[in-house]
Amino acid sequence: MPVKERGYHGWQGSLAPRRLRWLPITLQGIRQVMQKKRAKLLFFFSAFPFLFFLVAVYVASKPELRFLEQITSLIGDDARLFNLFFTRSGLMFVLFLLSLYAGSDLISGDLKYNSIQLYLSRPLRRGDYLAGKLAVVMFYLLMFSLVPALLLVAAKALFVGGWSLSPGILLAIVAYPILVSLAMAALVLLFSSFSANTRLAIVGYVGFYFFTNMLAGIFSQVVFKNDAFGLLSPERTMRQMAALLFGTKPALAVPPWAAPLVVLGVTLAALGWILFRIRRVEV
Amino acid sequence: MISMTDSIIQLKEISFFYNGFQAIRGVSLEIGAGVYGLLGPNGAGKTTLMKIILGHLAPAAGGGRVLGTPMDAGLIEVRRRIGYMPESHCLIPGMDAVTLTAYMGELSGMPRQEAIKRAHEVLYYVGLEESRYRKADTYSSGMKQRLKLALALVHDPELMILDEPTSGMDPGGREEMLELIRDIAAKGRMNMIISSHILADIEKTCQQVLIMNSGSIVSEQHTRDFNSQDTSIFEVGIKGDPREFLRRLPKIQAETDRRGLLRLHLPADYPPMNLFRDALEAGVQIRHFRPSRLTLEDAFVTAIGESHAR
Repeated sequence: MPVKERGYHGWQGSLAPRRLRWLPITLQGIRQVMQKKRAKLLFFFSAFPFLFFLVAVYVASKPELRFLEQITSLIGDDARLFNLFFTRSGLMFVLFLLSLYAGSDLISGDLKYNSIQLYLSRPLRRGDYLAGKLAVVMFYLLMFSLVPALLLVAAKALFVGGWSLSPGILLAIVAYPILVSLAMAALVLLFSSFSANTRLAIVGYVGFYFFTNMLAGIFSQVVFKNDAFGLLSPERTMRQMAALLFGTKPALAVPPWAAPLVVLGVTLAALGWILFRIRRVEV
Repeated sequence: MISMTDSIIQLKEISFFYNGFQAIRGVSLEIGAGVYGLLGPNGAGKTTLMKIILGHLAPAAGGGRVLGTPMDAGLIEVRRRIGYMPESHCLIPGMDAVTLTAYMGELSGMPRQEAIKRAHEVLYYVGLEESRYRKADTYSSGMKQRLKLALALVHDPELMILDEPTSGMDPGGREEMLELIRDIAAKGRMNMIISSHILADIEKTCQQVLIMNSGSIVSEQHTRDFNSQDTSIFEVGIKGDPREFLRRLPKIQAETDRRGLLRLHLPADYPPMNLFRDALEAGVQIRHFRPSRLTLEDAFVTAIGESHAR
């Protein structure tokens, strides 16, 4: 018999406190991104850098395929291979697109529809809300950076028939995508929290990405001729950080701590602003 | 879990300021089991008080307990046991009602499968069974109100806080919403605090009424006291100058209603029939004479008037 006809009936289960209160927000966010239009198409193209490197690793492991030397010469040692994969394979642009796709509406949509008060009427802190949203974007960024990098490690071991990776490189393979994903997720959520209009968030984030790249190029190479201005660009800063982690030659002549410091500073400032913005929302 | 005889909410000398403006002025109250109405004009502090109870705002002074938890210990976990229906429309874009309701259940600590099952039940209960797979942002105002009730109900809370639950609903929908609230309170044995501007809604659903004005509780009354025939209040219509008549009734509280009739509150030692004698002596005629009722509106106007006079 329908509940409406038989009157109100309570629920017999018991509510369990969660250690990770933000987890349902993340899982729901991941499901919602999957259901977006053209999600599968974007994910398909996002896998291209991995597929290209997978082929390259395979070719490098087979002496009979030496005629494809042009590909294998790019790869070199492990540090160069993974540095190239993370910074020169188009992966940076893929991650930018993915963060835009997954994160631009995460907070702006909630601002538009007053959803934040729905969240905060549940046993959640503002920090839980932010952590939940951040983890949605990070999930997709790591799916196309950390996961393929680990698959490349496994593929290399499989094709070559042995393990040659040093612990330092392995640590860099794990740390770099986590740092990049955290910074990109914080940035896209920052733009998403500026306005209840998702289009503005998209325009702001895209504009920031390209404008800072352009500005960094003009300042560092034309106007001031000083490499430090290269750190204005998120992409160049990430490459600089990758060079530091993988021990390869950095492109910018700046102190080694500069790039991680910029990434950390921007990430913390973005997260601080988002928390401030959420606190100002009338609950 | 607290027993039905315990206080649901105890507040002691709570004060709260918005940018230097005192929105809540030393409110002390004890709310037991049952359905409480919170009435007051705009800016009286009702919503601020509800936000303090939910732990969204920290009082500048005072303290208390909500569902047995001290306020200074933080009320985050207590929200698991509270269902809050905010006044403003709020939903999560792109979600259908079932997904949204189940999601809110999950956030309150329900297992996912249980939350989905329960979401179907509560949406059926509030009358959204036909449109439960529709995106919530396409709902009408009335449907959004029902959805908000379902969101507040999904985890079967011990206490429900409803802020203007019938706001934006047509008369039929409003009546159904009040019926649902009464049914939940009766069958679910749920405790409720309902804030509303509509006195009739409070009268129909609540057992007790708290009237707020300028950040203070100015009156607390049982709704059973309203609309019962009170033998000491009379409506009197006078032909002639009532001033002389009223001068002869110095101990009697009198007010004039919208129809121009006098409402006289007679003391116990004053027999009603003496009014005719006093009217005769004052040279006026009594053209209308009828025992009156004390309504919530009377109580509200009196309480607000008295608080202004203080």
